Amino acid sequence: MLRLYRCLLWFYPSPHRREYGNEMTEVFCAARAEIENKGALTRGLFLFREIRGLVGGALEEHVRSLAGSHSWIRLPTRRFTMHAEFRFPRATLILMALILAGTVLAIEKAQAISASLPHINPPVGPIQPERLTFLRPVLLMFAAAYATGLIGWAILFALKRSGMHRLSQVEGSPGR
Amino acid sequence: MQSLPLTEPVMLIMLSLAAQPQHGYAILKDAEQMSAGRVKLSTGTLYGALRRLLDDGWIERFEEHEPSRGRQAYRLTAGGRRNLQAEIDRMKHLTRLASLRVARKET
Repeated sequence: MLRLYRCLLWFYPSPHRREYGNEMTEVFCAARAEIENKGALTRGLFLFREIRGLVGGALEEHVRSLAGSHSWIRLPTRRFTMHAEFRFPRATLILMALILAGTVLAIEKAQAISASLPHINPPVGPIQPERLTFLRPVLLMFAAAYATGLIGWAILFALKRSGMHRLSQVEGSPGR
Repeated sequence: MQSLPLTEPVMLIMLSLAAQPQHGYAILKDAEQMSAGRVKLSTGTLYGALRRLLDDGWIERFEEHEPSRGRQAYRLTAGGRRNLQAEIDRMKHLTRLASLRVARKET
């Protein structure tokens, strides 16, 4: 159970994991020790609650690190605020590149297999199988996703450089 | 940012820290006890809330004289206490209003 918990902690952004990882593990161990002698249902519910909490928490932390601030997401009418340490996550770029490479490779492989197989029956109807290539739309889709991401990042970066986030700090927040 | 009204888990965490500084596990147990076993916080939920409250300056880390196995204690800040009081006042007003309305309906 502890090994699973430690694995799930890796879903968190590294700064959060470094800051709270040990503490969270210690609290988890204490809570687990308490239910260790209880029934299977109690233990199962405990594990389910912990997994759900970790996955939800990790997702929230990633969204926060992407957006820079919770208030920007939850309260869109408020002035834009951005943390000074904001940066576009490098892991996302790597992941997107890996997915793109995998997709292209799979398509290339499928085309090679298709070409190597002898066509016993001639193609029937208006659809020509050899012309059905998905490579271009997929590439276009990924290019569009990259472009959108980069434009979004550029807008956020420009706002950050313009000092808008500092204005919100000067005004203070009424909620506090 | 943590805004009013508070969610129930955050309210319970704040109430747990209102009396005295607490460690993570003590907060978990306290929240469960205060809600009569209804609210069982997971560590992910607890530390997500603690992180937000720390960022917003509602709570702070508390350095103990004799730290136990590197466990970190937390306590309310003055601002956090003010916000908690504001939330309690809001809830008092709401429950008073609800009682009046329900009583009027019954008569």
